Amino acid sequence: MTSQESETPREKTKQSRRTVGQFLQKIKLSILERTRPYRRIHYWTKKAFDELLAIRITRFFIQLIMFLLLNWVAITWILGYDPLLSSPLLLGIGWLVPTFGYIPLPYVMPHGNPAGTGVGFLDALTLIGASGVFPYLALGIALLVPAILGRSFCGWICPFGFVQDVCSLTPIRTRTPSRQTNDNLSSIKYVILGITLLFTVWLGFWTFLGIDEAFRTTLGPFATAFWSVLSPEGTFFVLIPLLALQGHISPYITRWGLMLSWGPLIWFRLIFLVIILLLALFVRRPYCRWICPTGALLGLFSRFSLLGISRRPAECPGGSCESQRCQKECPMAVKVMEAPWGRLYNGDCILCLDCRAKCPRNAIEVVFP
Amino acid sequence: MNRRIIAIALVCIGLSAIAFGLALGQHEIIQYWLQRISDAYVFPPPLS
Repeated sequence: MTSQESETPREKTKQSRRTVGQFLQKIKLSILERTRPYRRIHYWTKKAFDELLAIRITRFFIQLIMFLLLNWVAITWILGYDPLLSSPLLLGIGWLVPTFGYIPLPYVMPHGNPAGTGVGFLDALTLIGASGVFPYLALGIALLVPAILGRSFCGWICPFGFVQDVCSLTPIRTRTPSRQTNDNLSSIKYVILGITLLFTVWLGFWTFLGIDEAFRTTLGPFATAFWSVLSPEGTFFVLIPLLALQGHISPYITRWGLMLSWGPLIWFRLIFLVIILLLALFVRRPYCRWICPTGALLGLFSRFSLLGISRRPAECPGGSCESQRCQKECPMAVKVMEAPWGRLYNGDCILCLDCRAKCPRNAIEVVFP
Repeated sequence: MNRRIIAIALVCIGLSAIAFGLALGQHEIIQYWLQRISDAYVFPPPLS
């Protein structure tokens, strides 16, 4: 009598059920495996953003629109009228432009821009602080926006970041400085931020006590907002437009006599701006990486941001990745591969999503919170 | 998790500070500066 013949009907039924169960399990696993890419939410967002809209093109147009809106007065000068207020199609969004002026947002825009419709929050902080009032509004923006959106304003809205991005569009091959150089130069922005805040607190204190006249006279142009007087964005958005409006610079006439009358501060600012723009041809966003005090202050709080990016361990091979394009394409030289799994907490990340767009394995996704 | 708690705390403090700043009229200081600049340069002078 063989073992086959010795099995009772109940055991036979159990075995057949087990076999059917295994078969169904195999089918289930096969379906799951085949439909895996389509079931992931990030697959669809990746499709939508990267292939239909293309992150970099979308970001470029958003930056361009914000650049124009933040310098909207210049558009009205060129056209001779305000299309946002006079066009019936655009009437509905006309209120947006003057609204920029009421709330300082975390981008770089100096307060003296003759064509400007808004002020960056660091300028607002120094202006309000230096007038002897505690800058609740600007500090509130400095806490609120990076805690929710990180430094996405730097990557998607900042007009001077856009100027640098345009410089890096030239066919000149961008270079990546060594890690040591990058880290050393990155500390400059914290020094500038410290000096700016120190000046603001000092001046605000004297103004509060009502004995600021002598101090302001000594500081001269630095008394209003310390960094705006030296910064390249101040030169780009304030000094050059003012020189043009006052007839010092003209596309048709070279006025050497007037140019020779410029003081050393004006020449220093122009040379500083030219250096930054030339550097932006070779290195992506050099000003944001190394010098910008606005970015430094935002970076202190954006490392706790609710919006961020993460690497998926299932797709990202980590250090053994052969391309490492996420790191190579990062305009802020963030070491994405060295971040812990699950979430990137880095004060330098501007959420431009270039790493996501360039990752060949779709391993990077946007997460909130 | 701790980072999320810190982020929510920052949001709460930030919102309170903004509300306080707006109540004190700090946006008017910024408006004053923008207005001063735009009053000075309503239209550009001729280029020549």
